[in-house]
Amino acid sequence: MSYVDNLVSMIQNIIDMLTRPDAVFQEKIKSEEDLKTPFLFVAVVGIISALYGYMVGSLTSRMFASAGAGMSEIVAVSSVVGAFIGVILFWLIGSAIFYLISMAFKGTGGYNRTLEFVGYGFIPQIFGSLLTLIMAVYYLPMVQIPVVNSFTDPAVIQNAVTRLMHDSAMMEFTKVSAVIAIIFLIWSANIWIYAIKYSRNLTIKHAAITILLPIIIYIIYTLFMTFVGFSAPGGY
Amino acid sequence: MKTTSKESLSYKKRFLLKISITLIIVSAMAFTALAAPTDTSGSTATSLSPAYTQVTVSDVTLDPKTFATGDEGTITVIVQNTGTQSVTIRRATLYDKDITLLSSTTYDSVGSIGAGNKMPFTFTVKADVPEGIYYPVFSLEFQDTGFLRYPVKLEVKNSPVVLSVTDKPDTFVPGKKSVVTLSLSNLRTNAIKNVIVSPNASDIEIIPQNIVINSLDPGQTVKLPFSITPKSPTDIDFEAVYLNGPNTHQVGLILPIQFNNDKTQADPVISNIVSAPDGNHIRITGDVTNSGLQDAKSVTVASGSPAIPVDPFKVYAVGLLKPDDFSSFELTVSSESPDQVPVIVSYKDQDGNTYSRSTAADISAAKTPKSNSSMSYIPWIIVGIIAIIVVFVIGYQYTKRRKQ
Repeated sequence: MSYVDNLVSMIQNIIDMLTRPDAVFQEKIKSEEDLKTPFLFVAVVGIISALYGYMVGSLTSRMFASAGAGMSEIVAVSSVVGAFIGVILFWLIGSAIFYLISMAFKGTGGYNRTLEFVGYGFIPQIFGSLLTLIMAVYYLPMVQIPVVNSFTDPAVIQNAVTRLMHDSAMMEFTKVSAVIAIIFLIWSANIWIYAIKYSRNLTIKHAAITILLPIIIYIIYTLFMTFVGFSAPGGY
Repeated sequence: MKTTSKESLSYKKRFLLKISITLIIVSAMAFTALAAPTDTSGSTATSLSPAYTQVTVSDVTLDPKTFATGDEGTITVIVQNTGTQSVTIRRATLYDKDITLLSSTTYDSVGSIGAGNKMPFTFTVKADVPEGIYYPVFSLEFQDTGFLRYPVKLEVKNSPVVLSVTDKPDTFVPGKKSVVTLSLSNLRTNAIKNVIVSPNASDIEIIPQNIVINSLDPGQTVKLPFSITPKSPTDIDFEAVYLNGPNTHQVGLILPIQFNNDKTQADPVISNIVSAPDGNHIRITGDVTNSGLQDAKSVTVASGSPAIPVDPFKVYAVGLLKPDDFSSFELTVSSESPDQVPVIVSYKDQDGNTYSRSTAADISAAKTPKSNSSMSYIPWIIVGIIAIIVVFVIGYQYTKRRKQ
């Protein structure tokens, strides 16, 4: 197969995964476990999240620019690395949570298979993180960055971070990105229901409970913290 | 009878001889007696002659060592009897046609000076003469005869003691402590004593209030630092009072204190002012840069009247700003504030004097309703469309599944 054919095939697989995951996983359960492809999807989400993390990190590093040489670089690098590793951890820990919950329904199938199928569920997150990145490009330049002159007083830093999060543009961005994250998380959850159904050999009802239980808790938490309490921007 | 006559003649001859001898002896005695005073006189002269050679002037002391014109002082002459017998001195005096003798006590009847002893003679004089070297004569008159005359060298010189400013700030700033250094130079040929340098001025704080120098040797210069904190323009009259012997002299110096801008003082400049809405308030951000040459301490930035400052940043404390250093600041003011608000930066110098500078900030742009509509709605529309797509996709799946 040529490169174009591979690309067309991959796009078709992605569309199939997004539109009819039941059929796709039904086919994939018959094949050997393959973590490379789902890792690729998760890695793409991680890279996009790292770009987003770089933008937020740059914003934060500007806040600490006058506090001392080197601090802005530390903040930027930690934001990029943290965003990428965070996505990978989300995949590993999320799969583990689904795996553990499915044990209550006497699910069978290994963790690797669960990990593989849950990884496919990150495909909507690619679009979700891209959209969040676009929103960041739109909103973040409008954010008024408070100034932190010193790291010696934690109250000053806390105050500056609070002020950053309460900036009108930042608050708007936080809400938008949270809603985007929830929308695409629901889409991912839809895929994960079928993923856990086949990987753990559950009924659709048990699979839905396995996925929706933690997801709904997460969504409620995110909505509460975004619109009522305080949250970090974005959903990733 | 002849014998008798011969005997008579012999008696007469012996009588005459005796008379003659007696006369000769008497004459000799008389001569001796007459000649005796001459011999006595001669022996006295012999004994006086060493008297005024054995009395010498052993030391002469002048106070002051060098007189200035008009100075009074003392001349002390010490004579010593270097001989082995006492010498009687009738009177001692000092005289000169130019130097005035002021001594009320005279030495008209001095007495004897024992062998090996010393005797001081002190005369008070006034050198009311021009500069020059004078030789008043000390005269010692002995009891019997003879004199001792000794010219005393007395120098009159009006070389000055100079008070001058050696260091002072380029400009004086109200309330700012500055150090002014004076120098006091003794150009005289003798030491001056008990020097007191004191500044006299009003409405000014000067530390120390005076400086005391016990002795200033000839050719010596001392530095006199004074810390000066002026409050208003004035003149400082520095006065140095000193003793040249018993005579009080003084030298003065006037230092005018005129205020001007310190060319090296801290100069915080406000720039890069940006205002933006912050909830119901307006946030003003900017940079403050110290473009001066000295540290700006305790720098604070605040909005002045008629602006209405509100929390959390009614005042922004920057702290120390070194020269060429800068810091960002932010202030929050009420949106009820006028379009033009003064941004006031205050700082202190190292003496604690507070300075402030005001810069106008235009916050009208922050008060105009921003295109919040575009900021808020477009992303939400996009999100809504995507949400619909997702719902449609998922709904389509379940519909299809239900049909199957």
